[in-house]
Amino acid sequence: MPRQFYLRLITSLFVALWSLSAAAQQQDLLQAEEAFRLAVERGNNETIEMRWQIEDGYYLYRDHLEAKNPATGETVTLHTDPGIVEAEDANFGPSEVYYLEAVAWLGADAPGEVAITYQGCKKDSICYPPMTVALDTGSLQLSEPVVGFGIAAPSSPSAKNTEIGGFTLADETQNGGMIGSLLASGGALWVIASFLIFGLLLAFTPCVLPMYPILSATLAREGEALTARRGFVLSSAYVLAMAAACGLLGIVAAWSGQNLQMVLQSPYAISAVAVLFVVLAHGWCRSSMSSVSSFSEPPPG
Amino acid sequence: MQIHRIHRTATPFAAAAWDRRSILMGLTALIGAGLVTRVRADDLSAEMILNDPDAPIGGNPNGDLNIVSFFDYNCPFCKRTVDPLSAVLASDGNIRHIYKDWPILAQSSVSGAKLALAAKYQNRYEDAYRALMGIEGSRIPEDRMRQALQTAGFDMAQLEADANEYDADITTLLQRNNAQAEGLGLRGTPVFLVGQFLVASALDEAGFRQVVKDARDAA
Repeated sequence: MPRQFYLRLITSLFVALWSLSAAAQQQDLLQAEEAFRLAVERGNNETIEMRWQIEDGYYLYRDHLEAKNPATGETVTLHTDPGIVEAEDANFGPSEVYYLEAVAWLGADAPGEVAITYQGCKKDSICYPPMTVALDTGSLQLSEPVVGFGIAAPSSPSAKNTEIGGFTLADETQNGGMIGSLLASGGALWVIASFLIFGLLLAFTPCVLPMYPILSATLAREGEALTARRGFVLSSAYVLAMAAACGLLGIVAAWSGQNLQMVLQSPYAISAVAVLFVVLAHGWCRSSMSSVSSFSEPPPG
Repeated sequence: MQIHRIHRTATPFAAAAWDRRSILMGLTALIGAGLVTRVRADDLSAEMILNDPDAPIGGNPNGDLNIVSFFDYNCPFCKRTVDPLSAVLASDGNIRHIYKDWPILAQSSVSGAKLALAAKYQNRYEDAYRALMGIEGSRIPEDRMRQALQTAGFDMAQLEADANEYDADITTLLQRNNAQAEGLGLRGTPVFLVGQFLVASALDEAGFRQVVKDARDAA
């Protein structure tokens, strides 16, 4: 049994680390927003100049550079220079592409907000999905790029709703997510009540199951002296202390927002956790092995 | 050519043991350490990637090595790899090829993927795949895709009917493929998982042979 558990633990560790390592293995492949960096400035005669800095070995397609009015969906004229003709394949037609730098201009008649779409590839490697940014032509402020297509471009920099074909990859936070919908349907009390119920349901998840033997051991230690009242006090102390600790961790995590995720996904954090697990697994395995062997020894005396 | 090591996804031990329970236990362990990250374990078992019952299979279905390809019908580098890969599959004879339609480059990619997967119900997925991959260029209008399928001898009425009837199944398959690709952190197309190696590159025939050899040696 412990051996099986040990094997399982190791396997599940692989599953957990696999996704993280796959991302790490593609480190020589840049993220699209790193490969194609867009900056905007005002040019002569009220025109707006968009300049993409393109990493070496990557290129943008000329005919995939597009500007749209997100409100009406109409195409906005975008002026571009001719690019280099690149034969992506001997058998297939050539495309006009830009290496290292691409420049495009919007005329003075551009609407207040323009959705700019661009798409490129790494030569002989992969092609990236199109990216769309919302440009405020007054302040020249750019939104974060939204990856994907089929979007009329984000209506505001914060709204992200990427639709890919028949399925929508919506940013949950757009409408406040689950909490937002709970708030809308029943107010603050309803949110608190729901979380109490979700919390109770959590008691049946495998994540909480390991706590039961700890609590039962605590109670069993009292032996005959254990009364219902004493049991309740002990259980409450355990549960409240755990809840308080997890609550504090939750507040810290929420407070730090995305940064915590970023930090935890860094190679250092991942390596540290991997090492910690190996150490824990060894310790666990050794202790369970020794407990197995101590059972088989004859009792002293 | 870029070759990256990934964990042993193809060994029988791993394949048999990546069940939901072990994933949950892994997550429990992570939570226990107070360091849970956004692990998309649900979408990421090797079993789901290698043995999705709805994903089309080519090559030798009982082969000893898996090649999973993530591709898009508007992707020029994917098109470039079609012939070299099929040459290697044919001459090797012992490779299982798993097709992962991952339409991310243009709207017409989605339509193309749906039509190709509808051809599965006529047992002609690979014909449709070849027809669509054979169209030159990177932004192919839907009409040209239909034309290519017609030229390949497809009964378009039947194909449309299947596409409509099985739309829900096809869409959820595309969603699963997308979830797997995102879970793996893939950034674009094409990507090949060859045994335990991940290759994001337009390989030629020699390149494929080399990775296949490396994957077998490492297994």
